[in-house]
Amino acid sequence: MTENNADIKQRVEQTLARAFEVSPNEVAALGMGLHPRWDSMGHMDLIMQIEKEFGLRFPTYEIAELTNPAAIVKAVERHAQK
Amino acid sequence: MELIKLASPGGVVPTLHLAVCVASAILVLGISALRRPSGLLLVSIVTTIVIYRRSMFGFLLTTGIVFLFMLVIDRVSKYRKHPSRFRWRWTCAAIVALAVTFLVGRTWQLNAEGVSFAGIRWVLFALDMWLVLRLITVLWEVGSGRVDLPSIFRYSIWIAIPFTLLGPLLRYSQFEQQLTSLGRPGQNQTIFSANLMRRCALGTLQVLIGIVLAGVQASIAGGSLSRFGKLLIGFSIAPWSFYLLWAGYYKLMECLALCWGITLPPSFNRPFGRRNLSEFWANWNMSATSVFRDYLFYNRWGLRKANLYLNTLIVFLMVGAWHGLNGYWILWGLMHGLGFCAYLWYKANRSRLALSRQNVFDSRFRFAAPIATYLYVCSCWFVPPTILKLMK
Repeated sequence: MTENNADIKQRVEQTLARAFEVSPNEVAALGMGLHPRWDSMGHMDLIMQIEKEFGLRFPTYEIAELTNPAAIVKAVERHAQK
Repeated sequence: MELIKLASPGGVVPTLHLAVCVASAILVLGISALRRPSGLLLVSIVTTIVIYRRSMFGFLLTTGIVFLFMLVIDRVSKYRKHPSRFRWRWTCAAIVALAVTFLVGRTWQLNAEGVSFAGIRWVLFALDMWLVLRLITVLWEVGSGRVDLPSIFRYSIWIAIPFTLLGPLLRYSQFEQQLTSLGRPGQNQTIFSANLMRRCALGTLQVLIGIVLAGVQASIAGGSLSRFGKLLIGFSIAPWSFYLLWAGYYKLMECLALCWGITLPPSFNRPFGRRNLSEFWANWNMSATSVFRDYLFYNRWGLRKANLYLNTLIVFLMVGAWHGLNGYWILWGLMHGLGFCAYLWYKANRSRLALSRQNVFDSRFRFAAPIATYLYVCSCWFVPPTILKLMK
């Protein structure tokens, strides 16, 4: 993993921790439906926070796929490469 | 009332479809030659012909057009500067066209029209509510690049799997993940397990109770209904009859599909008794509602920032239109949409409300919430006819 990717992972984890008010070491276990606040409404809020954090915009068809931290990190890395 | 019509015992249990699914499961389990993909395709085609009969030509026409469209877009996009953008834009246009065709066709009852050939009146419009949803999902997944363009062989098996013809919805991406286990029920450890047998028995029991309730409802509705009779049907018999029939039916489909080595997504997970509309919808007809959520709710509609209230209204109006483009279903969708928006607003302002009322509201509401949600869901089914009558 490059320095840049590690930074992305850290920032995604920080955003997730902030959004769902969990400690950073609990972030890895998060997932849509696994945390009471990560439902469909919480998901849209999270996506908007991630987009704001990284200054990007996920296409509509990608939003439903971002259901866990690893998927979000991968998607942000993909957008960062563009 | 629409729900009473939907839950009537004669009209709702698709016995032919059930018989065909049981027969196809037994055939595949019993004849090893059919357990190959080509064998499954053969069984799928035969079962689809039996189910669709005079509409078979329309079924082939619609599914064929969608496949040809995906094929052409896939080929043409390779010569474009931005292939993925080109593919996605045309896919969105195709999805809109398909949805409009479905709505127009249903409204004008084009499925009753047909052309005579060889002494049979062939129906050209066979776009039913589950087929349109399956076609939209495959267009979306291929158009977005989520999956590659399927081969005509895989596409044909997927579109004609008998267990999904009347729901539940198996997206193409979910089907593709299971291609290695396709036709190999023995490899799936759950086949014939105690759990599967229990699920099968539970599904059958649910269907039977649903049929009995529908019968009771029909006998009550047969006479002149008092206000109490209407309330009894509206808030107890009809919702449970409808729910048990379809939850049981889809559970049976899940069990039968395992005989082909296919795992179908769950459809119902005890939706009644949930604390709010969000939880209700997260557990009601899940395979279908997840499509509306993924494609319509997770959408910005061209706005810079997603508006969850707007998205909620769009989702429920479209779910209503999917059931039927008429006053009843539009009002049903509007009521659910407004109820959901109210819940969204409450959720966003909960902390403020709880503080101002010292958590009393929340703790009391915890007990009342499942009852209020159930009553609201039932009202959405039974209030629209009254509103429509008043509007006239």
